[in-house]
Formats: sequence, structure tokens, C-alpha cells
Amino acid sequence: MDLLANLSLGFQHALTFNNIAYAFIGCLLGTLIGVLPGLGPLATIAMLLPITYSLSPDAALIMLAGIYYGAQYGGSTTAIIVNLPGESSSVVTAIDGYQMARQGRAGVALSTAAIGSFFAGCTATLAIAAFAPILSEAALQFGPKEYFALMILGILLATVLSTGPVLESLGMVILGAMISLVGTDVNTGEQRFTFGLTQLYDGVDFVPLAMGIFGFAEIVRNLRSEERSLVTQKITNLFPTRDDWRKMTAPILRGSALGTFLGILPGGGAALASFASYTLEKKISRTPEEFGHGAIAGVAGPESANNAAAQTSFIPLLTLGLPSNAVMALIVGAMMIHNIQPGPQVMTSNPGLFWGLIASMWVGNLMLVILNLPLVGLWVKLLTIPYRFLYPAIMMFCCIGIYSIKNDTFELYQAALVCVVGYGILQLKLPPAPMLLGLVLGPQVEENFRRAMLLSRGDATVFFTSPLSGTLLAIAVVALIFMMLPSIRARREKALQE
Amino acid sequence: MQIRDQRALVSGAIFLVIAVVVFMMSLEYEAGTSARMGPGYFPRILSVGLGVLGLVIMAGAVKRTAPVERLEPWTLAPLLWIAGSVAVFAFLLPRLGLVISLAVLLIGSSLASHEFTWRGTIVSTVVLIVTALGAFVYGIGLQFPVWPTIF
Amino acid sequence: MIRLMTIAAVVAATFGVGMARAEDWPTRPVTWVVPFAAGGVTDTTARKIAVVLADKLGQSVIVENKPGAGGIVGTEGVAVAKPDGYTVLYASGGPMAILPNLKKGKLSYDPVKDFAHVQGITSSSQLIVASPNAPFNTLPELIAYAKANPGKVNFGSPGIGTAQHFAGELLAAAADIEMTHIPYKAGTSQMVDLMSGVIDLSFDYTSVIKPYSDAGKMKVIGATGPERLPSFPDAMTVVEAGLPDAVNVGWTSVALPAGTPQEIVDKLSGALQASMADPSVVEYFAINAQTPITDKGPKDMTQFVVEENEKFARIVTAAGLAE
Repeated sequence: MDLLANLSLGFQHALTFNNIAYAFIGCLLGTLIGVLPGLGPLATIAMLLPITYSLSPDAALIMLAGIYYGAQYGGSTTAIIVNLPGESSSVVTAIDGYQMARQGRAGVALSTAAIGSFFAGCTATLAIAAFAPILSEAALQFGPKEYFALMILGILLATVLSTGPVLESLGMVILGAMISLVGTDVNTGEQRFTFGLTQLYDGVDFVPLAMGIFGFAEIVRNLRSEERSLVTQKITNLFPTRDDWRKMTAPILRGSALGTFLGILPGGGAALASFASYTLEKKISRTPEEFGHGAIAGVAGPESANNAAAQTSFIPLLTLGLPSNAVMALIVGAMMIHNIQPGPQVMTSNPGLFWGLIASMWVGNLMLVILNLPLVGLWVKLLTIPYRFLYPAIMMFCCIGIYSIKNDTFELYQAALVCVVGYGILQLKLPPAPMLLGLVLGPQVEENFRRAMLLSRGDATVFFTSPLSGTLLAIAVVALIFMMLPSIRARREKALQE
Repeated sequence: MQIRDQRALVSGAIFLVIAVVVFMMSLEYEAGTSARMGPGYFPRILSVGLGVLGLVIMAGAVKRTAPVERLEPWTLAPLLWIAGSVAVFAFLLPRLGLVISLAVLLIGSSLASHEFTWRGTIVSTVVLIVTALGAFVYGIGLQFPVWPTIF
Repeated sequence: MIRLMTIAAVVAATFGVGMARAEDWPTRPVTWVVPFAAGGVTDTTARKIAVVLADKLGQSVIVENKPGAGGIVGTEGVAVAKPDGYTVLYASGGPMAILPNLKKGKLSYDPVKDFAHVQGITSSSQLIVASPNAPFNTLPELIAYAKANPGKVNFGSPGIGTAQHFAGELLAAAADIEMTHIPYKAGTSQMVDLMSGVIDLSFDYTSVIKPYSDAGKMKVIGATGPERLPSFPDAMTVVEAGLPDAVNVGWTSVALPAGTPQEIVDKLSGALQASMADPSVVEYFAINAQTPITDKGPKDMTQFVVEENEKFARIVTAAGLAE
């Protein structure tokens, strides 16, 4: 069988002593740097990229893949421990993960994330090995109108994310989309809302905005309540109990499936996957009221989804040469420095490298579990540091991370401003997560909408006549109606009880 | 008419104000046609959407059935210390280098705490600066001005 | 006496350092600013050369990415940097010739006056590629099709004001055909749409196109350079198609802030020329289908930048693209 032959070729490459060592070093470095607040996978890889230049091509790619998974997992750790998402896909993990941490269940949340990630990684690796060429064809079915429909569906689904009322979440999504308008208009090249500042030509970056709200503004709020440490209850067991296992199994399975599929779509796949998984879990849960207050399914599902998506986002890169996100674009650069042209031919011209990389993804995932389960105890210890020593450290790492995005202080000023605005948002109890989603997906919605209209020469009916986008939009409408109904009902009931 | 939900009313009003401001600003940009949209088309759609939401949220806040919620008071001092020390860090970094600006950032932000002590802060500041230098500047070679540049 | 001499020596040394004599350059690491994100073609090329250049200069060369606004942010930064030879810019056609004309009066630097142009690095012409199902297979067929179906052909580009966008506008103007420009955000995001036939046509560099055309996912129908490309000998050039005005070549070079001492400019140019002759760099250029322009030293490069600016000023006016 082809699949087995290919995988065994891959494992022959990945399991040499050297390559295992590089996978391990990559995972370790990735975790250690990714865990620092403000340094998500993108910043981590950009920093560590030069280290890989002197290695052989397979070793370099294997190490990079390790760094990527390590950073991804490290980012989730920060999201859970200190409520600081380093990138869009861990925004969701922070919601319930941080609540679990505050209830003394940080260890369980971290182990759940590690176990979910490992399982999702295995699933996605198998999916890549078995279906890479077929899956890459699926990505080709998505043109501008299909993307537009998918994004709209994603955004509507994401509005149930927050604990607040649906209308306010929707408002925050729009606000995020408005912030994303800043910069050069892709279709005309004109500058919008840049106030003449060249640093704004490329728009507002995710990191200063996320750090400003989840980092700095959150610190201001915590300071008011004079907490001695972040944990409000005694730290219980570090590892999941039998009951926890029962609650996380199904979400991990569903999250893995969702992430595997959404990861192959270039642009925003991983972020969408984690948001979608959270929504799904909340909708089908028998106890939806637990979500937002430390539901284990709210960590298990999204973490599995974003790790599976992180894995399958290699598919468009390896089979079509398309980097599906900024991290993948960096990996293309790494391939080029080793004189490898990423593209459809890698699989045939460099089978050892191709299958070796896929096998090393699995090795990398295993490494992560081996490396991180013992570390869980250490991370949890961080929570016992008195808050007055912890928060200046968080601020330092955030500031260094923000500066290193562009080696420029402009983003730091931006974060200081966002801190003030973000404090206002938190005081008004408006949900910040949907705003970040709006910021990430807003440009894609606008671009694809305008591109589709430009291609159809102004005919808006194309969105409904194309079967794929028509179906997605129909689901969006149905979802919207269903979402409005319970919230209206809930409010009535609440008011009547008073 | 009685304002039951202050929080929602203010939130809605802020949405409405932002929507109006963004709409006014987007008038500067051309709207174009539906086939060839200008840079002003999408901002206008967004601001209309946000404006409508703002109005609906405000209407909900004054309804008889709305829950009673008050605004939370602002604590200005910590906000100024935290936001201010980030801005000062940004200003000092290119001028005085990483070491001095980090010291200012760490001490400045520590002052926001009620439990501030000089001894604890100085020890943790020194430890953190050494860690940052070791890990970022000498460890993975991030590009930072480390010392003041006086030439 | 000895003490006096020591003091004198210390004083002299202090002054010597303070004045940083040009002939000693470089006495400390050189920062090479790449105004694009890490991982792109420009960044990769700079890093590849930087390794060899450090060897030739005897000082380390640190590549620093300052991305933003199509290269404007990083270029601006170098324009106002100290002209002491320690801040070097990786310049290219976008921020040095296209954008200054497209955004005339809105940029804080002048591509000619604010820089000392040191050395040409690479030049590469674009390939004209079509979706595999497009009803044309050669450049003349494309032109005939576009004439018969005015406005029906959609061509993609990685954004307004990129060299690839101008390649399309130049071809449309030269052949007197009407095509609709569909801008994308980045180089590769349009490739899915081109493969699946959402757009019909695109213009891009060999290193981007080759993997797809080798796999039969798109077809190369022409090239924008004055001569045929060795890796695509069958692609007819625009000149052969009778459209010499449609020639479009992307380039990169190295520049220093204006006012840098001539000794430094010459020394850097020499070191770069030597680096580009290094086998590892030569191999890299060959694989990425970039043509080294080692012969463009400080004088020729300045002249070249002036000419490029004149050329794009003409195109921007003709196509009515100025903002």
C-alpha cells in the first residue's frame, strides 16, 4: 500500500538520531519562547528562523515544524495561565482555560490542551498522509464568493462566543472590522484612516491590540481588586480525573475533524477552526451555561481544532506551494534559503523531505506531550507568584514581543493607547474576543466581497447562485435566527423573574 | 421613562457615536459603484450596521423589562501608571537603550500596585532585566539598542 | 613623558573613534535593512548575500526586517539614518521607482536625492501565465481574444502599484486591449484563483510560477523581458510580439543614505560585487531565475534609478493611476 510505503519512508527520515534531536530542540525552544506573553508562533518563528539556516534542509524543516508546534502549544499555555492570547487561535482557549485556572484547575486545563493537541495532531498527520492531494483540490473550490460566505458564517457563529448579549458581540465584531479598515485599501491603493502615518499603511497589527486589552488593560483591572495571586481557589489535581476524560473525549474528536478540514483553507483557517469548535461545543452541550466559567469542553475542542488546523495548513503549502498564513510564509522563506522551491513538485522531486516532514510532525506532537506534561506542574507554579511580581514581568515580555514585530516603537505607543480604550471596554463588560475576530477576518470579508463583485461586474446574485456559497450563506441565516431566539427568550425570562 | 440598564445604554451610545464618526470620515473616500467599489463603500456599510445596533441596544436598555445594571467606577491611578509606563518605555528605548528603559517600565508599572515595596521591586527588576538580556539579546539575537547611544 | 604620550595616545584614539574615519570602515557590525517581511524572496536573497558579504567586509552583517507599506517604511528609515555606512538599504523597484510616482508628494524621501546608490543586485523579468482552461495559449492569441471580448479578461496581481500590476497595465496599454485588474494582498494568494480559473491571467516572477507550471497547474504564455528566459525558452517575449513598450523588469539594489563618504560607497560596491561572484550566491540566483546585475556600480545604478523613475512617471500619467 502506497500510504504505508510513504509513511515508512518518512519515518526513516524523521527517526534518524539527528532529526529527532532537532525536533526536540525545536519543540523545546518553541515552547519556551512561545510561552512568553506577547510572543505568538509568528514572532517566535521569525526570531528562531536564522538558527535553522545553517542546518541541512530536512533538519531545518523538521526543527521549524517543531518550533511551530512548540510555539502554538506555548501560546495556549499563556492563554490559560495568564489570559493572554498571543495569536487569534488561542483567543478562544483563554476564555474557559483561564477560568479553569482561576478555579485552581490550571493543571487540568493544560493537560487537556496537551492531550487534545496530541490526538488532533495524530489525526491530522494521518489525514495529510492519506488525502493531501485530494484535500488540496478542495481548497481550489473556494473562490472569492465562497470565502466571503464562509467568513460571514464564521463571524455570525462567533458572536455566540461571548457571555454577553448577541447584539453587543456583533457590535464588537463590527468595531474590530472597522479597526481593520485602517491602512492601504487593497483594491484602490488608497490610504484609509491612517492620519498620514506611514506606520499605519499596513493596518493595525493583532499583537499590540491583543496585548493592550488582554495584557495591559486586564492588569489595570486586576490591580483594582488587589488580588494577591491570580488563583482564587486552591490548586487541585494537575491531571484530568475520570470525569474530565469523559467530558473531553467527544469535543476532542469533533475539534480534530473540524480543524483538519478548516486548516486546509488558505487564510484564517486555524483561527476560524478554534472559534467554530467552541461554538459547536457550546451549542450541543447539555450544560451550555458552564461555558465561559471553566468548561473543559471549551478548552478541549478549540485546542484540538487549532492544532489539527495548524497541521493541515501545511497541505496547501506542500501540495500547492501556497502559504496559508504568515507563519507558513516564513517557512516558505526557510525552504527557499535551502534552495527548495515549495510547490506541487516537492512531493515527487523530494519525496524523502516531503514524507519526512509529515512523519516529523507526528514526532513533534509526541515530543510536545513528553515535554509538556512534566512542565505542567512548573507552569502552574507560576500562578502562585504574588501578582505584584508577576504583572511587571508580563508587561516586560509583552513590550519586548510588541517591539520585535517590526523592530519599531510605534506598535508600543499603539498598545499603550489600546490599554486605555481596552480598559473602557472591560469596564462596560463588552466582550473583547469578537473584536479581535473582526480585526482578523474583516479584511478578508471586504476583499473577497469586493473581488467577487468585481469579477461578477457588480452582480450580487452570484453569492446565491453558486451552490457552495449559497449553502454557506443559507446556514448563516438559519444560525442567526436560532441564535437570536434563545437570547431573546432568556432575557424575557430573566426580566420576569425580577 | 427610566434608565434601567446604564451599562447597555452607554455601550449603545458609544457604538452610535463611533458609527457616526466613522461614517463622516468615510465620506472623504469615494463610494464607487457596486461593480467597482471605492475605498468608502465598505466603511459606510459597517458604520450603518454599527449605528443600527447601537440604537437597538440603547432602546433595549430603557425598556421596562431591561435588567438593572450600573456603571462601574474607573480607577484612574493604576491605568495611568500602566499605560504611561508602556508609552515612556517606547519613548526611551531608541534613546537610552533596553536596560534603562526596562528599568523605568518595570519600576513604573510596579508603582501601580497597592502592595508596592522598593526592595521587592528592585530585586525583581534586576532579575528580569538580566533574564531579558540573556534570553533575547544574547540568546536569540533580537535586534535591540542595549545601551544609550551617545555619539 | 611616557605618561604624557599615553594620554596623547588615548586622546588621539578617542578622537579617532569619534571621527570614524571612512577608510577604516567597517569597524563595527553593519545593519542591512530589508524593507520587507522575513521569509520573502527579497529577504531570502539579502540573507544569502549577507553571509558572504560579512566575510568580505570582515565584519558581521545583520539583516534587519523593517516591513511596511510595500517597502516605504524601511526605506524611509534608511533615508534619514546617519550616513556613516553602518545602515545599508536593500532597495528595489517598488519603493524606489514605482511608489514614489504613484504616491507623488506623499512620501518623505526622494529616491534619487536622498540616497547614494551603491550597487545593482538582481533583475528579473516576469512571466505571463494563464489559467489552464483559458481559451488562449500564446501571447498573440491572448491579444486577439482580449480584442474580441473587451473587458472580459481578468488579471490578478499582488496589489496596486506592484511591478506585477504594472506589467499588466503596460501590456494592456501597449496592445491596446481592455483587461480588468483584480488586486490581491500578497504574491501567492492569487494563485489558487488562477489555478481554478476565477481569474484568467497573471504576471509574476519565475521563482513563483515555475512550481505551478511544472506541475501543469497553469500555462506560461509569454514573458515581459527583452529576451527569452533560459528556464522558459518557449515563452514568447513581449518584444517578439511586437510590443516593446510592454517590457517590464523588476530589480533590486543596495543603497546608502545620501552624504555617505565616497570611499565607503566604493568599498561596499566592491565587496558586494565580490560576494555576488561567490559560487553559493551564483547558484542561488540561478535556482531563483534572478539575473545578477553586477556591472551596475555606483554611477550606473544612480543613472538607472533616475531612468526608472522617469519611466514610471510616464506610465502613471498615461494609465491615470496617480492618487
